[in-house]
Amino acid sequence: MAPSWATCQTRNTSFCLIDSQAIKVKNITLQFSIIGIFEFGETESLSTRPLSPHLQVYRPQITSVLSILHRITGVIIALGAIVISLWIESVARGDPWYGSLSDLLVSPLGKILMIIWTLCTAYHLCNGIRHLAWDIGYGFEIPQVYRTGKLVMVFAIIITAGVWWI
Amino acid sequence: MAEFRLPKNSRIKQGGHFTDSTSEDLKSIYIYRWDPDTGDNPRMDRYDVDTRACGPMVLDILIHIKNSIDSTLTFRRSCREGICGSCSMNINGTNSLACITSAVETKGDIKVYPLPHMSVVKDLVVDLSNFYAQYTSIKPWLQSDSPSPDRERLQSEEERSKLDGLYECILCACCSTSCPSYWWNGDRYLGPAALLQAYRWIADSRDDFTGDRLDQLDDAFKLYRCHTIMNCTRTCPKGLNPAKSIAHIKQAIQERK
Amino acid sequence: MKLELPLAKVKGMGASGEGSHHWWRQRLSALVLIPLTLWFLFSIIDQLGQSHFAVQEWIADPFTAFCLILYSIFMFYHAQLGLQVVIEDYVHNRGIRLGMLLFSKVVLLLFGILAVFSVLRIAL
Repeated sequence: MAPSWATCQTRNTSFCLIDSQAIKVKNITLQFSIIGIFEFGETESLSTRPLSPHLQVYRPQITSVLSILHRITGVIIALGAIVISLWIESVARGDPWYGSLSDLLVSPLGKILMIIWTLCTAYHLCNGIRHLAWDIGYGFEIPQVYRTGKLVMVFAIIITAGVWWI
Repeated sequence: MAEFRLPKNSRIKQGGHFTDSTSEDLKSIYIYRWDPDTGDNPRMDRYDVDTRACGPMVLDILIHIKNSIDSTLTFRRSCREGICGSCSMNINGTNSLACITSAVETKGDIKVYPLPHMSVVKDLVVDLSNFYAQYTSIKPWLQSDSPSPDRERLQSEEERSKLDGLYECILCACCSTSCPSYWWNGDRYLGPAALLQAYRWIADSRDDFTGDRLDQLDDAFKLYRCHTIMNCTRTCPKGLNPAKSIAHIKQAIQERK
Repeated sequence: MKLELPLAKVKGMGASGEGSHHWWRQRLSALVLIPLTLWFLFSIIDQLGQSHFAVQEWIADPFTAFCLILYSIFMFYHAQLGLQVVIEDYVHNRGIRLGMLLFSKVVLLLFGILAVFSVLRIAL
């Protein structure tokens, strides 16, 4: 009997039977020679499978929290950089440009935003140094990761306080 | 856009509540359930288990439930001593092997989910075909153009010691599925487990395909989606350090420039 | 229906050979930024609320101008490299990703140039 192809698909698995032979269902002569069964990663029937929970269940820990903070502070600093460049431009242009931007920056809201920006910069700086240490192969043991992580947070606050209140 | 919420068919509903017949030393364990035959959303079933009726580990509780409360509960397990890597799952918020995670030392309830951000086959069993394909893609075998010696390929003690902390990996997938970067880009990022294994062969003095191995990793996604988040090292049930191995690969790529 | 096998999918079109270059430039710019950022943090706060003349004097000082220009160049460059990684991580639609990458690069380049030229205008 000539080899024939049969593709079977059930609800949650799909596979191929290659070279199936002698299928006579009525007279109960089922004879298969299965050369290969392949399970495929992504078929339409598989898409009903749920995705297991991730952010929803994974416990926040110093490793991941400090990492996402590094990213968030980075984006905030990038936004702040645009303000800095506008500020320098206002100095070059002189009043009234400089006066109005300067008034905005020293207003209570401006001050709060600038303190937040300072904290972000200080954190990104300290944690950046931690990252550079990792990149040259230091500080990979978990106790070290936790110790340096806490140290980074303390230093970020110290630098911010030093910049604003000393 | 990376999807941070669960798709509609994956949102977890409240499930049933089952209790051991005894009323002494009961411990509550919540388990993620999904039955492919009903097509319903996943649910969290609660089991109140008599801890005196089973062993001390989370796996012991799961086996007890399957034996005497609910035989439909599905999970992978084999060696029950932390060497086969089958029973990896998310237990109380971190990935670990159920067989070496103590239930008696855990205060309060226990919550068990499948490995995070994976396609669920049934209950706690997830589809690992992508994970295994990633492992295959780094060619986890010795490659050498040197003529085969008629005895073992020799290694000094020093050369051999470079493989310590690498060869012990049991491919349980705890690290890869703990990595947020792997969650968002698991289709292109190889993940900590495959990369630790890649480094295991890069570091092997008997393998002379180091350059080719590095070539195949120098990619913004395959390797450089690692942002040293360190969740992998934090979660590894064997105490290995995938993050450090990945840093060594990055160093090696830089070194040859 | 996709019947591509997992290994074929993982191997994809192979390694681009480009990741390390980006990574290295990000680390180098970070290294340069460590002293510059510390200098900037501690000196910019004193300038806030100062008269226009005083700030002009400060920027016109050759040392300040030099540091400020270096800081602007490296910070905007580092910001571009960083934002690129963030966009690549989260935006999977190729078209939208390309658009966002281009937009972030152009915006940061323009503001970087603006900062450098403003300093030069004040100092020269």
